Amino acid sequence: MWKYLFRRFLSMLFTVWVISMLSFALIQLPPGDYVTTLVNQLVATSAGSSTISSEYIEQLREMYGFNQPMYVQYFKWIGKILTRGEFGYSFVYKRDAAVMITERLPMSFALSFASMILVWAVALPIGIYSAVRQYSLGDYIFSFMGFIGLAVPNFLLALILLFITYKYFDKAMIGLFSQEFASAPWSMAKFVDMLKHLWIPATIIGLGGTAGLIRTMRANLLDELNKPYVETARAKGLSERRLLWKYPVRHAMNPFISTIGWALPGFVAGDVIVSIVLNLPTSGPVLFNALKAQDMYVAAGFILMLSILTVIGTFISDILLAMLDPRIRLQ
Amino acid sequence: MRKYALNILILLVMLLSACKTPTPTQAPATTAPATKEAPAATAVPKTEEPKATEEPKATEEPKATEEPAAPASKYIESPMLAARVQAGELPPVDERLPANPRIIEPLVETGKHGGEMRFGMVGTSTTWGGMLFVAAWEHLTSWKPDFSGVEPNLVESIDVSDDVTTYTFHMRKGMKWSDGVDFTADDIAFYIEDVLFDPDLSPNGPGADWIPTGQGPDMKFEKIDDYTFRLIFPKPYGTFLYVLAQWQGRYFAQYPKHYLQQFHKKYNPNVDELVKQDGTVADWIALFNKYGGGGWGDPEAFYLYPEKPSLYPWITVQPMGTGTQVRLERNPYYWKVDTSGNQLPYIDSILVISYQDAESRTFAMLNGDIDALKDPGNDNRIIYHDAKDEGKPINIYYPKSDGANTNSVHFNQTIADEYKASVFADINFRIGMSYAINRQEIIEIVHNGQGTPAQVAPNNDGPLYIEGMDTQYIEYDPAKATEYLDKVFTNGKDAEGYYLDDKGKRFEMIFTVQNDLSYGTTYVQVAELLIGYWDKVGVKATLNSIATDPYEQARKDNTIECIIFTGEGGAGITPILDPRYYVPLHGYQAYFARGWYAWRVNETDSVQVEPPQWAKDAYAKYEEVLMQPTQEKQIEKMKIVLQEAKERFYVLGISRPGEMYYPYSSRLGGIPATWYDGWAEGVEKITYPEQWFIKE
Repeated sequence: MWKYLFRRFLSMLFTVWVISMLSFALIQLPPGDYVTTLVNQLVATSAGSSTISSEYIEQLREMYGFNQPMYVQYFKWIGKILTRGEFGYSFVYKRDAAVMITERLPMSFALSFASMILVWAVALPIGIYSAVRQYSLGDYIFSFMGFIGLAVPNFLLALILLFITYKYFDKAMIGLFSQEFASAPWSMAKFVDMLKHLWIPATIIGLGGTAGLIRTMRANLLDELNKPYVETARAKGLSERRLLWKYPVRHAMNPFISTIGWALPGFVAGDVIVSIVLNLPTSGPVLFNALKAQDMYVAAGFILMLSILTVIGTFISDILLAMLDPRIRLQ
Repeated sequence: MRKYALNILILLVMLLSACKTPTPTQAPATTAPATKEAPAATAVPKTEEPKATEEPKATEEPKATEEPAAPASKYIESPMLAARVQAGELPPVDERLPANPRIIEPLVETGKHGGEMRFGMVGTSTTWGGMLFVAAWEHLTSWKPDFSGVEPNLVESIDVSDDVTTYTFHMRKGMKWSDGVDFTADDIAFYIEDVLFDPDLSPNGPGADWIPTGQGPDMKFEKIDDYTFRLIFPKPYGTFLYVLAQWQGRYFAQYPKHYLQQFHKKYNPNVDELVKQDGTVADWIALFNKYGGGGWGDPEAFYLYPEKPSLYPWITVQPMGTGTQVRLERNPYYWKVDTSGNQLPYIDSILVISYQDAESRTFAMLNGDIDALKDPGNDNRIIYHDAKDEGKPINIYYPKSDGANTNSVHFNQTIADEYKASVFADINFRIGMSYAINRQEIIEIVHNGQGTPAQVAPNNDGPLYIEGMDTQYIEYDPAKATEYLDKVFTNGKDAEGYYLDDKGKRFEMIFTVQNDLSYGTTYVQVAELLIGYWDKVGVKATLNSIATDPYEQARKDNTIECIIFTGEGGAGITPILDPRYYVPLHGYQAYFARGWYAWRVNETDSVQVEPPQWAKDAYAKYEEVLMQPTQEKQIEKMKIVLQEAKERFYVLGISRPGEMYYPYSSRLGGIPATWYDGWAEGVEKITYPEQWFIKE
């Protein structure tokens, strides 16, 4: 087991290193850089004036270090991260990129965690019910709703919800805090205020996931239910409930465990579009803006961190799977 | 994806609102003093502070001040500041104000001190999100509220020499930065001598957008005494005072010497210590630019670093930091009072709230979570009017656009392809293409029926109106279009009815549209319609809808053949101040002459094309306008330029701008019923937001 873990860990480091290069190269792919964005903003606003000389633009590029070859920029960047833990500087926000990446994390975690709990709490029982009572009325109803949930994009739900709350409750539900708490330090009142707002985005983001999970759970469990060991257990007189929970459900859970790894990056940059539509102060929109404005250190740092989380998540999944399912060999 | 989603929302909203009987909305009748007619060209740039020394009538009792009979003071301050004075944190109001403060006559009614305005912005920049137009924009001169001319603002008075080369500025004695330090000629000297003329901070030599191109090195600055300074230009510069009132004038309030000198090598030999402490910058130049405005007069530093002293009505007390809000509070040393002696601004504080998306901000406005915003969006016009009709606490105001047209359509006469360039340079081509456009249909489909068909031309009610310039070739007449286009394409048409080029192949051009401009959301739609119209008369155009970065590359390479853009140069004297569509070689975004412009300003990273003699002459004629000492003479000379622009017909227009609208919370007072809105006027700044007030 330890040898297996060690090997997995080494390959993980290698993967992260490759990803770090890829992510840095990736964000440089689109034409232009932050200076282009800046110059365009200037042009758009200082209409007609000929303020921006090409010398000045060159000067800016020099100042930001965009004139160096990409591999030099990369080694400077990664070197700072490794030696000093510095992720560089956000051109747009004029602040430390690391702060930009981390400051909204608690909010993102809260939201993603809430929606994940919701998804599991709703989807697993329904999936089990649907499988056990296959082709019953309840199964049909849940399947129908599940398909709709799968088919409707989250952001559309968010929009519809915004509209309904505005139209019928006179106040559109946007944001994660009331205005007076937005800048306030954390307190019990602020936390309660957040909970009041949290359930809406959590439900919206969770809904699509719920539908998917119901379908997967149902299909997996159906596979298991027809296997001979279930018959055997039943024949030996095990109660239906005990039988169900102890064996087939446990097996049917395998796919979920192996995708826990994917949940980790989801915690950080959950549903970007829903966050934008509902004006949630989560980290997804920060990544989105950074990519849009070519704020490259923030974007690269973000992508690097998401990748690392994915790799770690996969690692955790592997360990959990190995523990949960003795059939998986440690090779 | 997001666009798509929003479109669906808008569709939903429109469907629902379609079920209601539309109520025609009218401009709210306010008690605004009758606005003077259009910016009549009366004011010569001659400038005395109106009733400068007149004692303000302190008629109004300071409200809500329970303090026992304080010594009668000349000015009335906000209770918020009175409390701080009593606590000993601030000197009394009379000592904070200059001997001769700027007196503002309230545009609607005398307001009252207090309250907080909540301002919604989108994105990350407090400046561009809207505070530039509300809380910054304090220049040496400012526009009169009716846009008829300018008045001294930061300074008391300005003397102009007869040959309009020498400008002497008399500053306000006792005027202070927001930290209580005097604002003197030394601050201006610091900007000019230690920033503009500093070889490290301005490595390309002294140049700024308020200095005519190339005149920087020969411009002279003289400090006469602590409160007087002089600027001397090598050539006559008749429009200088107007230029100062616009964005170009921002620098003069941005360099508090006592604060910024710590970042300047000349004043602080140990500046490298600060560079090291900072950690984000490489050298002192970058450090200075960080706090000093990035080398281009960026006001954002005032919102990022509360410790930077300012001259603005509100100063930052809480920057955005890790949150989504910025808090501004009144500047206790603000140097303007109303006619009753109340120190301005009226509003105590501003809370700027950042939204991730324009439409969630729309909801916030409808919710009543915010009081004001910038760029409400043309698509939301119906939504806001419906909300107002439903009794939401919203007032809608109708400023007049200072623009000449909704769009300008350019055919680039300077591209490398010689045949195409010759086609685009042929006036018959442009006339033909203009006749092919069904402008009324565009107005109906894209602009909700707002506006009237027109070319890009100065407004009919302005001093620079040129008879017939706005109405030439605007009829929708495919037959006439064909008549003119036949003169251009002598090789006839192909089997499918498209014109052939000189080699006998189908003539095809690429219509580029920048699709991510916040102010250009309708451009693609208009371009698609235009392509359809031109198709009908046999000119093949292909849409190339691109984002900023590839567009920027095409601009530099000068490969843009046809493009759609804004329509500046309508109201008042704006055609003189921003003549980009009337004068070849002038404007960065005058795409019809893109290569010529690059040649004139020597853009080293762009393709430059030497203009023909007539174009150089046309530009020289415009330069002559700027040298005229009086506005009458400037107008006279500009009319010659415009007459030529009419004859040469550089760009195609679509429609006069329709009615603009701005929603504000009904809590807000002091906003006039209408104003001239545009970049030159500082958007809302011409309504003097320091005299807005909270009604409740």
